Amino acid sequence: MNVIDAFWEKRNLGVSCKEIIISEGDTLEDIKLLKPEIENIDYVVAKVPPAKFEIIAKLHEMGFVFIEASLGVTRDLKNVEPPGLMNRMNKEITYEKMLGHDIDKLYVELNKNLFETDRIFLDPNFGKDQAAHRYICWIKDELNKGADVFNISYKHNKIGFFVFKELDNNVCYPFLASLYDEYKSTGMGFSVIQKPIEEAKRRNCKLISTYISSNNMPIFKLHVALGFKPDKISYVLVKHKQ
Amino acid sequence: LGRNERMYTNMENEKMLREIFIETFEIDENTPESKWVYNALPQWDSVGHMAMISAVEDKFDVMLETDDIIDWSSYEKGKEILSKYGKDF
Repeated sequence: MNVIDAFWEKRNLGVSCKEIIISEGDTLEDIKLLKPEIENIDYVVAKVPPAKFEIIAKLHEMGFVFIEASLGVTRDLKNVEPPGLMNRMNKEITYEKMLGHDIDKLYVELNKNLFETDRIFLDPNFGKDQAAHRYICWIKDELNKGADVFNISYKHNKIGFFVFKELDNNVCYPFLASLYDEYKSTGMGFSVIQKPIEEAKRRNCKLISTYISSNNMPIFKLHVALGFKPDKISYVLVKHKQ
Repeated sequence: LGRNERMYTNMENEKMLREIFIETFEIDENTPESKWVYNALPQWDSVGHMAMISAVEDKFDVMLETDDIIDWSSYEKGKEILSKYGKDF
């Protein structure tokens, strides 16, 4: 088990936060020992491997509630062409690295309802504004650490974005992407997954890897349609201090 | 085409488009067509949209412009778009 002091959430969400990463080998006794450590923490997030029923039951007893399953998906980069109709549309959609003023526009867009399935957005203890603020802080942190952010455009209109970083082992990790509000429900949603695939190929990466929330079935279906395969799952439970 | 033949073709087009929608989006036939709208039907998401457009192109033997694929936001809007390709309803 790994207990992380997620101190950055104080700035992002205004609460003290710890993240508990439970491993396959962890036992009920290990979970019981957590109690004093998390007692005075405002917001605790526990990530549990599948089929750990007893541990999940214990976490429920301690006041945790299930909020999402986090699905890890990967795709190799041998053939990056999207299937059928998406391929035809994709040829008219472009992407390029964002400049400073575009990033400011992105922050404005993030304050709209971009991530309605995000666990912070959905949590009645938080909500839309905190979710947006957290994303903006997260992107700023990652840009400082070398991540890149890209515009996605159709006919010179900026329709969405993705944030992308390269991990050590030649794996690319696009960790945030969305169409802008006015371009949702247009059929162009595939581009926020396809364009990172193309960027990963351009960088000669061997694999692209990301996480999807089970609360966002449309985006999961798109990843499958674009060749991603699920390779891990963890259950996410959260607890707020009473 | 004569008037009757045109009416028949229009009815056939309507029937074909209805069938595509019902099959692609698993619509209960009692759901009024006014509610056949992008994101209002649970199966009409990005992947569903692509499947529906592919079926339309196949069955109606047309190739839609990207702008029309993007604008196709409801069943009614779809009929309007198809009429630009000579498919009347």
